[in-house]
Amino acid sequence: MKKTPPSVVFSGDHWKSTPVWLVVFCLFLFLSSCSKEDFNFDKMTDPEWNPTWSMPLIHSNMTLRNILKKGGTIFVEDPLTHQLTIEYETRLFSQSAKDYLIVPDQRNMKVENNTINITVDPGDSTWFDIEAPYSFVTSEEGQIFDSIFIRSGVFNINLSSYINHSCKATLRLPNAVKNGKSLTVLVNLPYQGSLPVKKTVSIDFSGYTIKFDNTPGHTNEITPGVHVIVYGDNNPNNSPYTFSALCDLMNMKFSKVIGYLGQYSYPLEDTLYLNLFKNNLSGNIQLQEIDLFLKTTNSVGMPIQLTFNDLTAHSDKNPPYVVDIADPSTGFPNPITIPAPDFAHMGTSVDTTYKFDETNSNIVPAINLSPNYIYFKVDGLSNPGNNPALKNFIFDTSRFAVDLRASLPLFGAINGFYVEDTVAFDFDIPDQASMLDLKVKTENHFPLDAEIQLYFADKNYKILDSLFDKNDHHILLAAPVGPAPDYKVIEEPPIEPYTFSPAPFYKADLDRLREARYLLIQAKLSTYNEGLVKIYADYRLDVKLAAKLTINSQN
Amino acid sequence: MKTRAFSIFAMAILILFFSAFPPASAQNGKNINFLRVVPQSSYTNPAIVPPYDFYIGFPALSSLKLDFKNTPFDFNDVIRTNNNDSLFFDTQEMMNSLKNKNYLLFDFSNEFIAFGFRAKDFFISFNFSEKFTTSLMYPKEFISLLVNGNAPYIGTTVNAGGFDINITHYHELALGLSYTISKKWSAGLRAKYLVGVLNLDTKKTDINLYSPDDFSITASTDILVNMSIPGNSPNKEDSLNFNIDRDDFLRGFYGFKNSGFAFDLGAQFQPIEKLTLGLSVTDVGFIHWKTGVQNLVTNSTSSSYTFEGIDIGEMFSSDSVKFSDQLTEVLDSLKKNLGLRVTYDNYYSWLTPKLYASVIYDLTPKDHFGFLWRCDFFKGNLLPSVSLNYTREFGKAFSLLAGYTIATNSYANFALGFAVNAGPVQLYLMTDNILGITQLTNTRYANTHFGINLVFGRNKWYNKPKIKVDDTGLNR
Repeated sequence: MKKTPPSVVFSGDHWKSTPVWLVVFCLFLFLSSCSKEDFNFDKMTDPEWNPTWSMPLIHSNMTLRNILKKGGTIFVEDPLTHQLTIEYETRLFSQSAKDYLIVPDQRNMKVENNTINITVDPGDSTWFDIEAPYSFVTSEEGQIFDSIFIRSGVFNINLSSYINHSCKATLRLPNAVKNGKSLTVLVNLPYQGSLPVKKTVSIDFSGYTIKFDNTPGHTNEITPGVHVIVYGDNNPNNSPYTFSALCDLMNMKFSKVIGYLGQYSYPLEDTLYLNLFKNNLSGNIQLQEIDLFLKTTNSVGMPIQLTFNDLTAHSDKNPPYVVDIADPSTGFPNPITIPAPDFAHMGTSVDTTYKFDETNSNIVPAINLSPNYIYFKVDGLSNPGNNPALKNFIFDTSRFAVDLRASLPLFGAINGFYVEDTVAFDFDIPDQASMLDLKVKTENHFPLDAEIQLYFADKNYKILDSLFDKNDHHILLAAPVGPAPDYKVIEEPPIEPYTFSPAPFYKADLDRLREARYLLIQAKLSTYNEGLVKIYADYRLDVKLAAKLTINSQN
Repeated sequence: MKTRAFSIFAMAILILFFSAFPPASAQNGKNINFLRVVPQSSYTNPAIVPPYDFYIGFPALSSLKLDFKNTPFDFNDVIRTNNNDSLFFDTQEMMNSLKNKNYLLFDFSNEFIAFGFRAKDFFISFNFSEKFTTSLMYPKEFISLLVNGNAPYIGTTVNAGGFDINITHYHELALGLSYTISKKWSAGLRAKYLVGVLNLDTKKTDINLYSPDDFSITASTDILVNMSIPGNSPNKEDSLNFNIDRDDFLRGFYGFKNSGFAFDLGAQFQPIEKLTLGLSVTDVGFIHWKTGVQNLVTNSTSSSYTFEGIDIGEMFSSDSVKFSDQLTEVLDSLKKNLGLRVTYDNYYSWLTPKLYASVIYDLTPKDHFGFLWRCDFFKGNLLPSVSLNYTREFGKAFSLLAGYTIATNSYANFALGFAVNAGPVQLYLMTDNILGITQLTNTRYANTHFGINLVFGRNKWYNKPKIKVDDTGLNR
């Protein structure tokens, strides 16, 4: 039997019915075409998306040092009690030796004789001397020098001989001594047929000490001289002859000067700004203990007197607006003589500090004015007695300086101390923001209450909105304080954090605030129960700022 | 007969063309398991023996698969129409659709070379394929955080991570061996040599955020993300900067440095003549990544950072301290406390194993009913699906399959597939969800499996029809 392979047999009714296939085919086309419009992404709009994000923004744990460190505020901590003191310091005056004393150039010291008669045989020699006392020119009238120790300088000599014989000149300055020897310069003047015979010599004057003659009838006198040896020859005798030596002492720098240095005036005028009160609008801080220190540093061997013409505290907010700190009725010492080192202590410095407090000045009412600044105008005068017999000394390293320091121990009371400040600000927040909710949590270990208001202003300082719209703007509650004498914050029971939240900003508010370019900050400070408190170094303020931001993508 | 067979074949080509080959993609489809005339059905169970002496796949067209799945929602669920006819993405509807774990899967596979031949009781097959798989598990909590923000989670812990990602591009060289043990039993093994091209694989992605109130956020992390990019030669400075050379990137597609191995294992049992039970596991394997490797890792033993805000205290005391300096300090501190660092260690990534259990009942030699339970194992997540189908064989020329599949969060998946044999040329098309092709906007699951093979020697192995009916309508 023939093996037939199995064959594919289809039901003729089924497969002759091509419309079935067409229907299936068309169904595929139809159903496939359905999805075309659904993917028309040109019609797509922004999705509706409204997340709310909660974010911590700021967390700072600050001591007073952190808050007030800018602007040169110095904090001093008492090593025993740890109470804080704020100090403001400024240098009123500082002058170094080179500013005090300049040794001027001494020019044209003339040692000359134009009536010299000389008779000398050929092969023989003769000599003559010329001396010319010279009064040293000083930089200030009235200065009388005993000696000047020269650190550097130049001694120039211009010799001119009208003698028709060869000569040898020895120039001497007995007042200038170095290593026990006085200054001597030997110069040859050979005659070669023409006159005058000239020679210029330049000597390094470093290391010499000039000792001046101040005996009666002489002031700052030195006596340069010349000894000339003339050698005879067959040239005719043309007496009288002229011989001159013109001397200059130039570019002198001293290392020490002893003598009466004269009377100098030092006008001092400056302003000490107190940042603590810089932004005060009204109200004041009543500090209980305030000291003003005047510190002098003097290594110049010369007495100096300071006269306070003006030492006043100024406030443009609080009456009486000006307080005279140096009021004589308070016993303010005026003038003050600044001590100087004596000859036994040459090369050292005398530091002196004068303290002005409530017993000898008006410093307490001055500071309690909450002044913007302290202005002072002081006249300094050296050698106030103007006694030329008084010996002064000065080294090239000597210095005289005066510093003023205000020391404000943080012990007092504050009642309604208003401060205001303006800072640049940019409210950079997404356009899609629909709500902004701020929260502040503070843990305040300072015995200070603070109410704050923030105003948002545009570029023209026009107020757009404020942060708080409630009456109570407290963001800091003062920590309770214990009794005298410590007035210390009570930490038991533990200080609870204080949380507050201004009203949320909605879209209209946020749109308005985008124009903000400045933030006006107003704060009112008060101590606990407006009473006395002390500020200690370990007090801190913990501030947390968080925000809840809702985005609406449809915005 | 030949004309009819050709007509059917041509019609099949037209259907494919005018359906515009939809942008759906196929996994190793489920119902392909039951289209046994297609040699590629053995990719779901290596114990399946194709009814041919020899077959060869059409180069680069023997098995083209695309598969897409988004478990929580489809396009129409979330893209709505406004009153003014514009479209918008409905985020709240999306949130309502999400489950605790949601999956987005995309696979593409193309077979370049395939052939198989029978040798006595063995059937040996070989194939070389290019595969691109993307698997993403995203938790609802993560999406909720993006959509609603973190404000609703004040006082609780929320995981801003917790997702699993695996993106792998690799070549697969497989050698399959099916063995008919007896009339009742057959078994099969497919050994695969894998060459990795590109990979992104997450091992851990926990980013737990806890805010007791508005004033602080604590982040604790446990992250290990591995990536291998061809041509990437990082500067090894603990930086996520990529330094990819273009030529090396292209060369990486042909390199062999990232090798791996996998296997498929299966068995079939016929307890009675009309019943066939199948059990198999596929894609059990790994790839060892060594080129262009970078790992993002946090130190899990101490990875915790609490942020309470920028410290502006220093800004009060110094003009030189800027806000940006403080912000930089926070970011450095965050990186340091979380132990966030980049390393360059080689690593292993695993394929997604699949388990198949099938039952086929032969009502007649031409009518077959099938049941399949399949489960994908993706990083400890189970993705089960169940399929029921009916296959009708119209002689040797045409097989048609229709079925119904329930997959993860997807309940309206109607399978349709056919295989047309015109002489030795076989064309097949299979989809586990016909609506995924025709109504893409209304489906969460779409796939297509298409291919052309040349098959030979099927006569001996094909089930003969018990009833012959010819054109005259007479039984013979």
